[in-house]
Amino acid sequence: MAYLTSHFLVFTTGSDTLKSIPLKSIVYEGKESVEAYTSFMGRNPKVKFHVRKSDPVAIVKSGQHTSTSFLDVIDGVIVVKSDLQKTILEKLTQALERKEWKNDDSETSKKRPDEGFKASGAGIGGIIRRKKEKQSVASKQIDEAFDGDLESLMRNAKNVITLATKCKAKLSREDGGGEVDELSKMLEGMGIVGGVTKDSAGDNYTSQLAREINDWLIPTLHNKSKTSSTPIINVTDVYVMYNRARGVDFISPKDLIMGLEHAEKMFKGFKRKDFMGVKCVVGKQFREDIVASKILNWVEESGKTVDFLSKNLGVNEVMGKCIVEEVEGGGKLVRDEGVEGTKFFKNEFDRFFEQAGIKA
Amino acid sequence: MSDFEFPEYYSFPPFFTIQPVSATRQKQLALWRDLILKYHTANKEKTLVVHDCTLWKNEGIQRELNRDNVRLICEDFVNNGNGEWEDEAKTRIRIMWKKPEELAGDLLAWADRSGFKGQVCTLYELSSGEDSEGASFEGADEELIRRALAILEERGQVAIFKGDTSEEDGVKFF
Repeated sequence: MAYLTSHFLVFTTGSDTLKSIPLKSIVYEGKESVEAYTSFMGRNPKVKFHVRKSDPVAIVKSGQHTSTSFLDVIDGVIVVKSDLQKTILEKLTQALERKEWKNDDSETSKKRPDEGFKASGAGIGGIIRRKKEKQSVASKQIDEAFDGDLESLMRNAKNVITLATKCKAKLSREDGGGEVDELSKMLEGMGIVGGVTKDSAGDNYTSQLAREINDWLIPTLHNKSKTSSTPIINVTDVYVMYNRARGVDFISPKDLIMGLEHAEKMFKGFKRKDFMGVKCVVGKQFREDIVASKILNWVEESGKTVDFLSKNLGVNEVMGKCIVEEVEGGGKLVRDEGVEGTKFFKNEFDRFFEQAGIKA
Repeated sequence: MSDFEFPEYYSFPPFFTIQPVSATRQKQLALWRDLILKYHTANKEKTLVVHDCTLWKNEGIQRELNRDNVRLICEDFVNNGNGEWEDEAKTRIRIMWKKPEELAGDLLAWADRSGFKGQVCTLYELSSGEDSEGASFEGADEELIRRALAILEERGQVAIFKGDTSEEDGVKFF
């Protein structure tokens, strides 16, 4: 029988003797060092180890007899007549490669020699000093850990993008069909898009950025209009969402404004709009009159808050407020500032005005 | 209170919030002027006391004009020629049930209809006399009637004679 630990190979020979070979004594240089072979007649499978001469082979005896017939030390080569199974051999090779015993050595060597007594280490002052030292070491370690993590994260993100871009390129060369779309969709879903950068695009930065923004914005707006909400996003949100989609190499707000401006002119797939001073982009599907008539429908029965209207329009409240106020500005809505907050009503003043028969 | 029938818009909550949109606000203010006039005319009230006017609050829909908005509506009412401040502190408004020009027209038409053309009648008779029952200026503020008459006098359509008291001033329609 043979047992393997991370440090020793142990044989039992017969019932009462243990022989152990420390793994660090085995000269391991590739597979040659540990060989299993069978003798001429195919019997008595043997395993051969090369062992450093200097290291003594421990032979643990239990009981009285030692059988040396299993173990011959010949010129630093140990031949074990054993039927070590293949699996054990594999494990042995792995263990030899891992060299666990080395870790032990380094750990023991790390042990600090005892610091002698110093006057500065004595008393409460000393305790405080030691505490402070410990703290500063700890915070330094934390800082390093964070820095390291972030750096490696960014490095990895870049690698993934390079890989993804390669995949994309390869796929598009090969069939250029739906698979590319699928992959890019998948990547975009993971928030990975190889963004246009000033480095990569050079003088074409503006136009390439515009194209990229357009390619991302149009489907985004389109999706919004599909999910019952209004295809409108304010530019601050566009900035956040777009940079998130890029993943790395964020662009500046200035670049985004510029990119949007160009993309609108170049592709005409969306429109930039100013709602009460809030910059937005709206999809082609966006029509103010339809939005207005939707709102008027909702306030037909009773006054509604901006909150309610925003939710029904599927936009955030800032955006909702802008839209509602725009419609109000067009004279279609009126407001009621009551104790429960501001509610918007259909503008009935025109009708009342005519009813009262007032001469304007 | 009176049997004054409040118009529909008096129960429209946004009526009590001054609208930020100019075009809408103009209509809203016009409705307020109309309401104030109609209410006071119907109740034969000649004066609006700013801090004590039932119109500012509609209990039915729990809406109330705030102080600033009351001020705004009153100023608009006066600026539009529907009333006049009675005091410097602007606490009371003399309601002009009709603008003097309109009232002048009414007076002439009334004189025509009731055969007062070429006749003389006193100011008192105009505002409180039997003959003026049902006329638009019945119970009207004396000052208002005087102003309407002044317009007519300028056009040469009436002549005014001084009486012993201001109420006894006479008017002759031509």
